[in-house]
Amino acid sequence: MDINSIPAQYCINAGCDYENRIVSAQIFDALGLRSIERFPAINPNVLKRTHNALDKVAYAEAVAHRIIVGTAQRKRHPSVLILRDTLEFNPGFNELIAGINLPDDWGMFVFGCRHKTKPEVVAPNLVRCTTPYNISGYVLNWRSYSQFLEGIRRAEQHLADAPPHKSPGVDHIISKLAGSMPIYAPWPNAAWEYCDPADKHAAFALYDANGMQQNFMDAIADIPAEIAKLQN
Amino acid sequence: MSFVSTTPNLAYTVAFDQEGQTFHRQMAKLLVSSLIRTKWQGDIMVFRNTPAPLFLTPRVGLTEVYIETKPKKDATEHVHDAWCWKYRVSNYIDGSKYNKVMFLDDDTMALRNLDHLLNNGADVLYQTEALNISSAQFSAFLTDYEMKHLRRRGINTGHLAVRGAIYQDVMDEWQRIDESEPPQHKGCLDQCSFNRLVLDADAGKLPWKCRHFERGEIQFPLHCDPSWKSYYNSALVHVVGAGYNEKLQFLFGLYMSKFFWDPSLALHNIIDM
Repeated sequence: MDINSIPAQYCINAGCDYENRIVSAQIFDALGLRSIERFPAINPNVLKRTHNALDKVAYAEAVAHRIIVGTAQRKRHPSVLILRDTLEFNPGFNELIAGINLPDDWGMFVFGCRHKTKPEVVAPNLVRCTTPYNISGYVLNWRSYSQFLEGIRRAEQHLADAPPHKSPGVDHIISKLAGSMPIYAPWPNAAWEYCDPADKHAAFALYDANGMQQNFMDAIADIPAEIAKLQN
Repeated sequence: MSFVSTTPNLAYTVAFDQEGQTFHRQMAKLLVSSLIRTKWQGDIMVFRNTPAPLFLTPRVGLTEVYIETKPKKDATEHVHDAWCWKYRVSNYIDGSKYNKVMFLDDDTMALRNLDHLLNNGADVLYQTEALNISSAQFSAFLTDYEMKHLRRRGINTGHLAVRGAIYQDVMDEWQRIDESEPPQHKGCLDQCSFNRLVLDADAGKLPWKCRHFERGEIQFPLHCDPSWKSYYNSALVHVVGAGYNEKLQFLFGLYMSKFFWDPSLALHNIIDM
């Protein structure tokens, strides 16, 4: 997989997240990812309509993804890449990604996630997701633009009806899509959500230092053995 | 456009005081200090009509230019003349050295870094107010038809940015419109003429791509954005809607709270031993 061939590449970053912006720029530079543009995160307070969404932050996040994918669709880009600005990257990111050959049916490729249910191993470095969560970033194939946008539209309605303190957001949308859209992820994760070791919540860290998920362990317990089997 | 721009930007302000007053240079000093404290990436220029420098020790990247102005007969004439210097000072600026050239009124203040507002492909960036463009402060150069039918927010020219390579062209066009005969009235001309410029560009009469600044990043706390939580977290505030003393007092309070606050109130405890 050649990231540089993706014509539209964005990292969503809020104006107030200065440090994330600077750190992300340094990481992208070090990885040779020079085509990534900043997409300003939508400020939930400036949205005129949120369809009574109780979680305006999740709604605003979904709107940003909708705008990016909708624009890619209008411009007829063959694929679009979207990243968060809070990521940690696998030290072997470039080699890992370069070694991936996506099956012809791919709809989305996520750079890393937590598998809530067991994924299907399709190659020693690639799994097909069944319930991906906490998605670090993704590449969406043009064939899946409409399905993705429809998923967001439905989710926006769902967000409007969601009970308080629920924050489904884009993670939830993509996870739901995995039932009908072929979503693939690298094994191991190529990127994952950064977790500050000084954070008092670090005990609940989602990933270890190598990007291995730290909960829903049953979902991934058999994967190393299945990969070994495939390699033999 | 890359993720963060590596080409420097220029921010400039015009601080012209009436004889015997210092409001504008005081506000300009707060503005420049706020830009430096929020890690502005690039140069800063201050055009002042008072001979004394704002800062007694030099700041890296800051240039102060003294422009001698003739005393005006009253405050209104002084203000109207000062507004025109937003584009007149373009003769002192080499825009080609910069990614973007940003004008800031001296009654604005950066609360966060502003570089991200300028890192995009727009030729001209602007900020609207909550009022319709047919309001008096925006509408001098509208046609009768536009006055009646146009529904869009008016642009406040207290903060705007232009791509460096075309900065001089945009300023020349702004001046040309500003010095032409307005069809409606003669108030707030510099702002009205800039609104005309953007309307013309949006209609394809001028070859420039105009875009609104990132939403929510510039706020008017004493005007249409009074929510503390909202403006305190914005990138830039512009204190239109108050007298000079009130503006200065408000900006001073905001500056101290933003840049000198700590939970132990150390500064307060030093001063009030």
